[in-house]
Amino acid sequence: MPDSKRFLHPEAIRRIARLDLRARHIVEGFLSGMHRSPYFGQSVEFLQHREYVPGDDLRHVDWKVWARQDRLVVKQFEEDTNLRCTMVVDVSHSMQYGNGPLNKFEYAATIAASLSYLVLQQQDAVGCITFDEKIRMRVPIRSKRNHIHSVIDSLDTQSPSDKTDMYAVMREIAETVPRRGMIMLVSDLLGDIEGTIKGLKLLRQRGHDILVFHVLDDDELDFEFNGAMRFDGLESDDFINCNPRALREGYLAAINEFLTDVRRQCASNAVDYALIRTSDPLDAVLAKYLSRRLGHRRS
Amino acid sequence: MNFTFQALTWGFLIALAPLLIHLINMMRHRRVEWAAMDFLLASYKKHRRWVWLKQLLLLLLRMFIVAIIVAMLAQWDPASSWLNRFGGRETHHFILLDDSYSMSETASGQSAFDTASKIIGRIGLRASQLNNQRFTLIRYSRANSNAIAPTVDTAEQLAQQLADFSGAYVDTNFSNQLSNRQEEIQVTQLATSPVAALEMLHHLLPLNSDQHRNVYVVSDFRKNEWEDTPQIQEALSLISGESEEIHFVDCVKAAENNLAITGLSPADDTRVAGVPLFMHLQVHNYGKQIATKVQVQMRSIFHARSQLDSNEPASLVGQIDELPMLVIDAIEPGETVTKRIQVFFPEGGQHVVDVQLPEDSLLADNRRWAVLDFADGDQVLLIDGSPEKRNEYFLTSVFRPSQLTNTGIIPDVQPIEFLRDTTPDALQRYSAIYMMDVARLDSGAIANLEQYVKAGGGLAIFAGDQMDIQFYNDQLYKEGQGLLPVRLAGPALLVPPLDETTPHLDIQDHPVFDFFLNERNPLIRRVKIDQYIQADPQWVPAADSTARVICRLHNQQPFAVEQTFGQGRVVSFLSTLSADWNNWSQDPSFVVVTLKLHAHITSNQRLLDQHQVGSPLRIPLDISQFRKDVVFLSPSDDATTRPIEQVQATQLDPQSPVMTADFGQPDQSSQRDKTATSGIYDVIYQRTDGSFEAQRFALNVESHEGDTTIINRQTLIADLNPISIELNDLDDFLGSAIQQAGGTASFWIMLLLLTGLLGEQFLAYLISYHPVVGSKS
Repeated sequence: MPDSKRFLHPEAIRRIARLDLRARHIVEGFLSGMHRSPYFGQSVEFLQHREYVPGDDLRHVDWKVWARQDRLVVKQFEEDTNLRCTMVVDVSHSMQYGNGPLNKFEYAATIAASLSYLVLQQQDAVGCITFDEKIRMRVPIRSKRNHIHSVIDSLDTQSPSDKTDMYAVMREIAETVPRRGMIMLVSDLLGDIEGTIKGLKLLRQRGHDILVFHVLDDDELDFEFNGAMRFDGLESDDFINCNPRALREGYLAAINEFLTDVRRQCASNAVDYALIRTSDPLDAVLAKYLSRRLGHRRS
Repeated sequence: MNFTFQALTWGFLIALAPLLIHLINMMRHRRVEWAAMDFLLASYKKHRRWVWLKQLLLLLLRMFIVAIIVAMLAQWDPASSWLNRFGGRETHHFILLDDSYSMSETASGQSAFDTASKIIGRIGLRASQLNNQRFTLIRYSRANSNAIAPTVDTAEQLAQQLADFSGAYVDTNFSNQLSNRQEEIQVTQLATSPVAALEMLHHLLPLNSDQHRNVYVVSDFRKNEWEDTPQIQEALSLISGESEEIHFVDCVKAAENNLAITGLSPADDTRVAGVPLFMHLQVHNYGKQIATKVQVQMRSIFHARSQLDSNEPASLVGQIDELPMLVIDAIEPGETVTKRIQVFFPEGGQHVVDVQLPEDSLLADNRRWAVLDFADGDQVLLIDGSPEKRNEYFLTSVFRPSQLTNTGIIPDVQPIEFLRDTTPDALQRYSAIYMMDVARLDSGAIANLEQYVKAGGGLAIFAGDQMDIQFYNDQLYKEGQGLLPVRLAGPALLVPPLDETTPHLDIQDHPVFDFFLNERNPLIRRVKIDQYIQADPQWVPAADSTARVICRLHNQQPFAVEQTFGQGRVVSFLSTLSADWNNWSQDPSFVVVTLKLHAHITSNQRLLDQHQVGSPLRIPLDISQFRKDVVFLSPSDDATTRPIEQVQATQLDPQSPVMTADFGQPDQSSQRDKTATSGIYDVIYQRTDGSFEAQRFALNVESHEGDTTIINRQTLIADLNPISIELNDLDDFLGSAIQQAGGTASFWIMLLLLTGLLGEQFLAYLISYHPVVGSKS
């Protein structure tokens, strides 16, 4: 049985240069493997019929119409609320790092584009914000299908630079996105962790659902370097000449402590958190989103 | 620190390589722009000191390992340097070198001594590659040359005097010194035992008790030298308690065949110029195979007295006569073959007989010399007491049968009073005195006779009617203390044997009569004895007496009795010489017995002066007749270029009229070698009137040294048990010597290196320098 998801691995995605095509490829590839269409939610208020297409949930087929007219149509219901989703993408200098097919920024942008595409496919509204120590670009929230291009343009034009000031950015987002919605933060969270948590809390206080995609490279998580190396800080002037294996144990202890802390803080603040390696297939991110989306609907 | 290959010590600079590599690596860090810098910095701050310390240790360890490897390549001797400062000891190699002539046995073009030299050279070379090594080399011959027994007090001084190296400190140049010295050392013709060298070593070892003492006995270990020798065992036993190791280094793998001349001596006959002389030649086969068709070259060297007109070697060149070659058909292994050869010298003097075997594995014992002292004539004194002088007639007839026949014996007939009136010195010109039917002697004559015989003269006493039996018993027998060997009873008639075929004389196995023994010559059976002087029936020779009956009558009464008296010999016949009491003088056997008798009673005067190689030569000279300058001429192949040594005769006792000239005395260590060559040594000295006289000596090798049989090695070790001996043959000794000298050090250095390498790996693992599979580099 062919593995359709093999096309969602970073190695495969990397061959697709255009971000919009990349997002579409990911979403379509992701959905083609699913039996149940997730496009529309369920509601009591009938909206319209439309022709059945493969992949539609059979539960939505209007069997009465089939009995009378011998054709398959599905019933569509008007949703209760329209989801307002904001992609918050870290474009700070630390996102530049990557030793795999995609660096962290490329991976984060791909995630954001794919999610945006998916959101728009679901008739929801999506916006995008890129930031480092401040908000670099803002794409307003829209639900038009072609809005995806705006989102992708905003991501394409960015190149990582400067430090991160997560708290300031979060605070500004909280102030400038007044309506409640879903905020999907795609970042490596490297920086002031207290500020980050504080910013997330602030957003939660404003009623936003927050989904954090914590993107880290394998090197950052495993630190399997050998030989004499010099590490230059991407967001600082610090550097270290060292044998990395000698420091590996201490480094892993420190970063694991950091991850634990982040995970714990997110959990305590009802922030959905997902640690994602840049080597992970991208459908994992979409799955994470959909599970969160379903949870949101149930709530 | 000491290294075998000093040039390689520059390699220690390579020990800086790890440092340089470290510095270069610091400059060649792979650069990575890193995002999670905070965590890396946290880890770095936490582990920085420990990481730095481990890295420093690793760096130093790597430098140390490189240094150790360089040290191994340069063959470092740690035992001789800093280890010694913490209790290390000097190593002293005591080498005893067998330079007896059996070591000159040659196999495959190389002698055992050559092999020994190689071994010693290797020991010296190896020692020179190490530090704190001392070296003592003692040759057997040198140890034997000292006349003073070594003691703890004198051993060191003797060693300094006699040893080739005595506790010499071994430096890097020592190998050359040893090599130069070895070029001077040659195998001798001596037959020296190891006992003297071992005893000297026994006294030397305690003086070096703070050292590690290795004793090496480098020898051929012949059976005749090492089998059943309690002296060697005792000496080795003492040495084993004073040394750490004793090595026997065997220089011979297998004994070769060897023929040796073990004897060359003249027959015990009258030795007078113009009279042929038989020589007895003995050849022994020391090999394991039969020797056939052995050709013996012989020559006689005649030295005429008239030619000696100076003390130059040329004046002593004799006339060489090549004698017919003697061929011995076969000599079985272990057998000694005796051959008789005849030599003839027309004039008196000291002449030489030289015999030589064909070349074999051992040359020294293939040649032998004999110096024969020939007199111009052999004067004998005849005293006839019978009124008719019939005894004298018969004796003179034997000694001077005719003008054409020369026995060499010149009879001088004198009256009885002559013995009284002469002096002892005047009697010395006679080789023998014959007293026939002498009634009695006065006391002066008896004293002269006694002195004469004591000095080596021969005396024959014949009975007769005139003899005063009482006088003979009282004055000449003197209860066994006088000249007469038997106490007499009185005249008696001999009853003829019942069987006419029974001879009257019952001869014994004695040189005078053995010619007739076993019926080889029946002439003596015709001798008839009618009357004789009966020996006292109570006479029994004393236990310490040399008197013995050499011929008996058929009634077992003594007929002829002999005894030694001082250096001389007396034979008494208890019947008349003339035909008064018997018919013997008319029998042909009388001539034979008389000549044999003369040879016998004068044999003590012809004792061959046997000298062995290495024996000192001493010439006593009358200070009033000779000058002090004495010339010693050593043997040489070229008679005109013989080594000359001028010696001044010295007067040992100021009161003595005799001065002596010494050559090769053992108390003069440097002189021992002067008589170490076999051959003829001539001594020329000058009378005060200017005329020259010469005396010569034949120095021959000791024949038993030519027995090349090798002792069984297991037997040797068993005999020496419980002395701990390491027996090495030639092949394995060199390897073990090297291992012995440096092996332990190499082991510890190797262990140190392995420990260092393991430590380096462990430390590198701790510092996480080991690559991990799948990790990024």
